[in-house]
Amino acid sequence: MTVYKLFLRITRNNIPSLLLFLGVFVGVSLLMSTSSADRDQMDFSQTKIDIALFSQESTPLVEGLLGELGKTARFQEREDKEEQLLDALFFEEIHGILRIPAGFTEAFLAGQTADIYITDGINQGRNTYLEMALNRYLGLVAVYRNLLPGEDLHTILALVENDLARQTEVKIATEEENPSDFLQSRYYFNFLAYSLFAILILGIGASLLVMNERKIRWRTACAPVRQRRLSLKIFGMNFSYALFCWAVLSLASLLPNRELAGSPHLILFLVNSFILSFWAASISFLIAHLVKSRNGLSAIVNVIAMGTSFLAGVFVPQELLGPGILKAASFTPTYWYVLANDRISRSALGSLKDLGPLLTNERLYLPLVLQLGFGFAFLALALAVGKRKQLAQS
Amino acid sequence: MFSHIFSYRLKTILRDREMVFWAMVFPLLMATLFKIAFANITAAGTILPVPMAVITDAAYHNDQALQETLLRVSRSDQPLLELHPVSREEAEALLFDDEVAGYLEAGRPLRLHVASSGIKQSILRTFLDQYSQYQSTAETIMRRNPEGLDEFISQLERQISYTTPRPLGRNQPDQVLVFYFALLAMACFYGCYYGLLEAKEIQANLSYRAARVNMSPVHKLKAFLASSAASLTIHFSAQVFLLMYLRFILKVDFADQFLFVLVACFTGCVLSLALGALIGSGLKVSENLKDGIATAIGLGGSFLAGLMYPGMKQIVSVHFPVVKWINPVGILADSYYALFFYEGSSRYLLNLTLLLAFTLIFITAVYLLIRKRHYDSI
Repeated sequence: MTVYKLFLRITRNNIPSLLLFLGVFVGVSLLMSTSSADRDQMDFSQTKIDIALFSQESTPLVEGLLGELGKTARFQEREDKEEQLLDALFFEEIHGILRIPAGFTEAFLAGQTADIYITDGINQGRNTYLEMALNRYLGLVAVYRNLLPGEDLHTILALVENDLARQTEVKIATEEENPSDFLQSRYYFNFLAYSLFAILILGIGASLLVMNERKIRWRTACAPVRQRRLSLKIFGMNFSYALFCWAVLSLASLLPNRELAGSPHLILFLVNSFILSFWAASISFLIAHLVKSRNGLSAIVNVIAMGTSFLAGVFVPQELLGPGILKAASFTPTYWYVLANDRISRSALGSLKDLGPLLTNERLYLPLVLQLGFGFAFLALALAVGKRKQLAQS
Repeated sequence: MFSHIFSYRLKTILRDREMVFWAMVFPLLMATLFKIAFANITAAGTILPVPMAVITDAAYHNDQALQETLLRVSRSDQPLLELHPVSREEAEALLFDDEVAGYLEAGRPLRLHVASSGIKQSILRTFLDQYSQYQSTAETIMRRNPEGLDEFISQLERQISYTTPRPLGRNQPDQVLVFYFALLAMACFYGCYYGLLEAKEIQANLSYRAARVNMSPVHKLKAFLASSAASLTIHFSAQVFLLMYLRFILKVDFADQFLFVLVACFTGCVLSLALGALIGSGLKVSENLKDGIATAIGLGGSFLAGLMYPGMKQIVSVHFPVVKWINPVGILADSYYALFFYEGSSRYLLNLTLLLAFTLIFITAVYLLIRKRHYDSI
């Protein structure tokens, strides 16, 4: 109880800074998960990209082409001034520029070289779909004009439109639940691997630095309590702090996506993030034993929390990281946390009854068990380091 | 006296090995990590071939064109697909085990079964959409001009492009650089902690060392400047080392503007130090909270500058345009990017002016806050 009171006193002193961190991380997590800027690469419901259009023609061919491109792009009217366009590209207000020169239709229909000019923005990948759609449309018009020479342009454009209306039917395993909802939650909970981890290193580090001060250590060492019991008590208190942060961040997950509240997916996301709070608390406990001053703490947060997040696919999707990196990342608990989140978000869960079979499925429980393993290993290491420190001082 | 305080302060800071070590090491580690992670992203075709199963049912066996197309794209030099022709049950198992990104069911229309949406699934869908659309064209040609089918196929293989790239600016924009420049800016704003320390070591009510310094017969401003100069020397040296590492080891492209990069970096170091000193001297809160505010500014600012998610630059610019002019970390990151992106230097100079204006405001505020502060005898 005495130790607990001491911890509460230390925590009370740290409350303003802890609330500040919580505020910042909740804000950052929400902004990250609600932003949809890059979803077009990730999602079937392709977000339209913003393109500055400068068309010097308004022929049926150009209108037809723009109608087709309008499926993937939102055209903006802007002043044709280089500096302003550069600014718009620089701040990503537009993702590219499309210029259709005067005389394009005439040259194209005459079979001469006719080009449309494209300027790429900061994310070149975004224009790829647009460029593909443009080439496909004009390519088909050229094919029909070549092979059906008797047809007029209007008929050909109608044939092209008819062809391009054909689409593959896509069946998503979780289609009864709107998968995009869980995609957003997946982003949020994936980002938790950074935000919760960072906040725990900062919070637990700050409180343990006080507990590890020589005079306080001497005082606790002379109490008739075994060192291991004392260390476990301190960890227990730190873990309760971790649970508080986890609860706040988990509650905030409902802000961008209220439908998640009644979904069985939420339970799984919570189980996974609860385990995250355990291993993150264990690692933070270990780090706090190793750090000597508060000055290095924020840099360590960057290396440990941000470094592992980059490596394990929190910021950059795992499928974009090479197999070598993923292999290295699999030695971090963050990798298994992100993997579990991905699998949860794509599980077909109609009701709570479906949870049982899913939780006993190796594909889901293995990442959870591995995370727990990491948590216990780091906790054991932290206790050993704490014991060694105690022995060294005595 | 200036050199005396400077040299002693230098020794004092260097003795805090943990702070100096981590401040230097964390951006180096992060930059190396970026290099490793992004090497794969920028390398062409890392995600290819995409594993896809196809159900070998009657519909598939009857569709000769589909079979040929799938074989062709999975057996080329740079295959798009890794094809698994299997039964329905096997296809479902492969999808469930994550061995394939999706499985295809032949028929009209084609049916693609996936477990979730993602980049690989989008590639599959785009490819199959294109196939269906060309199939529709082939059917029309078969109906109206059957002799033209071979010509259609050969025309498809020629893959004519109707677009010409027209680059704008000095260099082709590069999203990966947003990460590097935001990291550089974040590392630069680590100087806030040095600023906090300097503020602590000049105010006698905050540290024993400051009490000792305040007793010495030296002008407070002089002592503060000498001491801050030592912090700046160490912090700027670490930044130069980081820049060298990025430029010469990791080969990050600064568009041959290294001198301008150094100028921006130096300004950023002074600004971050001044900001830290302002937090340290202006706020009457615990040391913990001051540290927290410095951390929050560094982390929040670099997040808004695109460190964790490069699309954030766009979100800030479109939805919170004011933030892009008041986030010092973002302004510094943008000034690096401006050197790389813009032909002229006007954008870079605008950003540099903003940084200098912030610096001036902060330094003036710090001066006003710490001058003529006396401590009662107790």
